[in-house]
Amino acid sequence: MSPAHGPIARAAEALEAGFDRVFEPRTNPLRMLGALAWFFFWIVVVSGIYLYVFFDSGVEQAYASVERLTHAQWYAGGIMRSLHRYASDAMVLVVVAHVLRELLHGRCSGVRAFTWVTGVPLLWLLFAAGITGYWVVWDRLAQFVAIATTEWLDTLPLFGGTIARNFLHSDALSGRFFTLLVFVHIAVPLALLFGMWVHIQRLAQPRVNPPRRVALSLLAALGVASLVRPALSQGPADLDTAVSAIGLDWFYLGFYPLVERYPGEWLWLAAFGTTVLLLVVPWLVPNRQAGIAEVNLENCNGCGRCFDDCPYGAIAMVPRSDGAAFEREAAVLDARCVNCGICVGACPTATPFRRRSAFSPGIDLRSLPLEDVRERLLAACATLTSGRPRILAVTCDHAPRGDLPDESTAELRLNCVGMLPPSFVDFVLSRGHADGVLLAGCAADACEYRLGIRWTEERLARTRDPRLRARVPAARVETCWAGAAGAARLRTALHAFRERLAALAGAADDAAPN
Amino acid sequence: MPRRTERRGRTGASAVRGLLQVAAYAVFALALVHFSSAPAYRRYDPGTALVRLSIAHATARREPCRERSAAEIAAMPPNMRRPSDCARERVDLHLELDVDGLPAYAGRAAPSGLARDGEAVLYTTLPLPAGPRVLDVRLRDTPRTAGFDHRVRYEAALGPGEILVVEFDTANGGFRFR
Repeated sequence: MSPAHGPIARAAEALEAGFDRVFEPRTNPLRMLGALAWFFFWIVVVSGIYLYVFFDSGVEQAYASVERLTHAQWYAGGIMRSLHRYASDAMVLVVVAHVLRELLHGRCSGVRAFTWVTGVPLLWLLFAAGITGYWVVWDRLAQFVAIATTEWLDTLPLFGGTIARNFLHSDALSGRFFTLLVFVHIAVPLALLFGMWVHIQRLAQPRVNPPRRVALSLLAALGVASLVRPALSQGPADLDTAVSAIGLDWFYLGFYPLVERYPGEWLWLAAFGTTVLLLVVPWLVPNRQAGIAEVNLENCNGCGRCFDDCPYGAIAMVPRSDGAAFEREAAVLDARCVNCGICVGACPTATPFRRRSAFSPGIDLRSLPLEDVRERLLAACATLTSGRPRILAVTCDHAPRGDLPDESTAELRLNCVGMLPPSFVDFVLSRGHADGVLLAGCAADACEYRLGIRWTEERLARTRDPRLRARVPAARVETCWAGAAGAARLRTALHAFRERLAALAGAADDAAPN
Repeated sequence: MPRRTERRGRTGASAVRGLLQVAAYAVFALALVHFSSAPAYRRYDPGTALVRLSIAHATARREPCRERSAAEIAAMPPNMRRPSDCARERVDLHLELDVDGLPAYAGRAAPSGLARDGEAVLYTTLPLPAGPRVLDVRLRDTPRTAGFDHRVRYEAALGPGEILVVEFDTANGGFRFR
């Protein structure tokens, strides 16, 4: 589950960081590509329903009805048609970007393999939905797409080379063909929707809606595009004349020139080969997942917070098995556990103040027990010798690596910042191990383990259990979600935080009685 | 005063970010609009016509049928008494096309089906310069190894962009041009 560190991955991360500066990190479109695909899908559905109401399925009627919608009803049908087209294209764009991004971040193996593999057939369904949409208009582009597609299909042994013969001349077509086409154009997106639902089943709290601000901005952009440059037909189809030049929708039809240039069998081989390659990617990308969480029943009271917070549904609450006076107990589903430790951060028994020889929370990581975390934290804080405000930086594996620690900054690195129970922050500050705690990790809204940043923020804001105790001064706790490419931003945040702590110390000195 | 300057600075930065966001959404919309219909894909020169060969034809059987004797028929179950015993497999379809006396296409298609007893299908499109053309089409659909069983010479005046479809239908006299 380690992120890719190649130059392309770093370039992508730098691009995302650049977008973070332009947009708020929480409204950075690059960090919500999956949600955007859902959003565009719904635009396509709503506009498609409207278009269907006015669409006539017939050889002559199909084109005429679309033309009526486009021109006589430009203020409604015309805009709907354009939204239908542009949202479909936008969906292709964000889906391709989504696939590349997940691949670059290495988010396709291990527990994420299910989500990745179920996403691959969606690419075919998305393509099929778009292609059939172009057919129903029955203009010159539809004529080209219909013939090129059927000629390509005919190169498969399955069809015996007879499908393209349906488009030899105008007499060969009937209205029933369009009825069938409309049925397919509705059935395929429904299958796509079902596939998208399956795709997110292994994700706890999947994000399927972009923030309202992003949604409205994109809708406005598509709306303006629809008004300024409405989608138009390219003249009625005429099977008796050749389509010499055509305006292609390169998002859906970009590979059609290849279909005409190279043997269809090669292209099928390339298409199927790419599909198989995508399907086996989870087993080609190294899965560096080490260890899993384990429940210590002795300290588990069955509160269910780990169950609530696990980003991958890797914890189940089951009936108590040890006779303790609790109704339920947590159980780890090994195959789904990514070893992030967010469940440990959620456990109310994971408090470092406990005076027991063996510090064992209700749920813990085998590879990094919380007792070790406490020991490492104390050892790190012991190195803070400077008179300047001392800061403990709790970072994750996806925070910038560098020369963060010095005589006034100690670093404690975890799998995910979400692993740190808020009581540890209280422990550090109330026991005087440091003057401030800085939590730094993945870029905002790009948590490697999906929900680590969100839960950490909510725990520190005291809106989610386990909450940071009220006695902890908020000014002594800072967060910086800069990602691996945000070293400069992290240094700036650290510097500003130290200045704030120094100001706090100065104010305290001034207030002290002489 | 410094606070006011700081506030003004934040407002300025926020305005710049707002403008950049609008620009980013505009670029996104422009890309969608542009690549949804451009650049145009040019398939043929404007002065090109197409000849589309589309033949789906059941060729002759590879082995000739044998007439069964009366004794053989009597020995068969009543529901299977057919006078002829025919092997299922058919021969390949051969097609050649010359345009203005020059070879333009030569193809062969195997009968469809696991038993090779279905129609043989040939489908191809040939771009030609528009103008008057003489087509010489030849088809072989029997076990013979040389020569052709059907041949026709067709003179066509092909306009730019026009598609001439060449089909074959035994029931309607062989080759059809339209």
